[in-house]
Amino acid sequence: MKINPALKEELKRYLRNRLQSSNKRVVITSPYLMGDQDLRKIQEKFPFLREAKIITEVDKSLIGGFIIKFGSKMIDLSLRSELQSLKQRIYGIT
Amino acid sequence: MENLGIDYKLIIAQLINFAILFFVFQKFMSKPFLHFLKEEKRKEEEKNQMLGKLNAETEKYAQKEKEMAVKQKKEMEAVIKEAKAEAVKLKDEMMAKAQKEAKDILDKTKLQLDEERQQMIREIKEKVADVSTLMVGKALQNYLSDDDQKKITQNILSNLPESSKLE
Repeated sequence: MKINPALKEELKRYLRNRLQSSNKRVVITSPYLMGDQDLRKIQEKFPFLREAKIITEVDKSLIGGFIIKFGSKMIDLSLRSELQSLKQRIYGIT
Repeated sequence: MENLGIDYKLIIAQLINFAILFFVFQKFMSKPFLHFLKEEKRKEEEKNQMLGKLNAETEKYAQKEKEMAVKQKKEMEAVIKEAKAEAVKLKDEMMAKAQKEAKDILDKTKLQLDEERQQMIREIKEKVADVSTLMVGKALQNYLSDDDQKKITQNILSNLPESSKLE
């Protein structure tokens, strides 16, 4: 089956735009609602966040710390992930 | 001679009679009877000879039978001896094989038990790790206030290197 070249080009453009917009959109999840001060401090540490559109979310199960999600990438600085890695280390010892 | 009462004619007639009787007896009775007796005697002798031969044959066969019986007995004893040796050998082989199999099964079972024990210990440790981290997580979740959580976040941020960059 041959795809219409115009339709193919349109689809490519749409996906590229979507990828760019998703890269600009950043979700920061924390166990409490983050204020501007916290966000500023995070932006100081992660300069690429200054140009991004930040969305904050709350997830109590993180216990402490935060998670930054952008595009398909994720920076996990939460206590939950620390506990998970501790558990993995205990598994490794056993 | 006539005075003495001897009648020559009568004597001669009697002699002739006797001679005729002798002749007839000799011719028709004595000879066949002797022939019959001779024949019977020959038959008897033949029978005795045959009987002797038969006895000899019987003895010969009896001897042969005895020899064969001895030979068969010897052969049978040899076969039995050989069979016993084979049986002992077979028994030893089977015993050795069974012992080896038993040892293999024992070793395998020991190994399996060891593996299962190790697996069980590993699972217990994993469970302990799971439960411990879960308990710590739940405890922290329940007892940390928003301020504490903020402090933790601050601490994490302060411990990060300056201007972390992600490619």
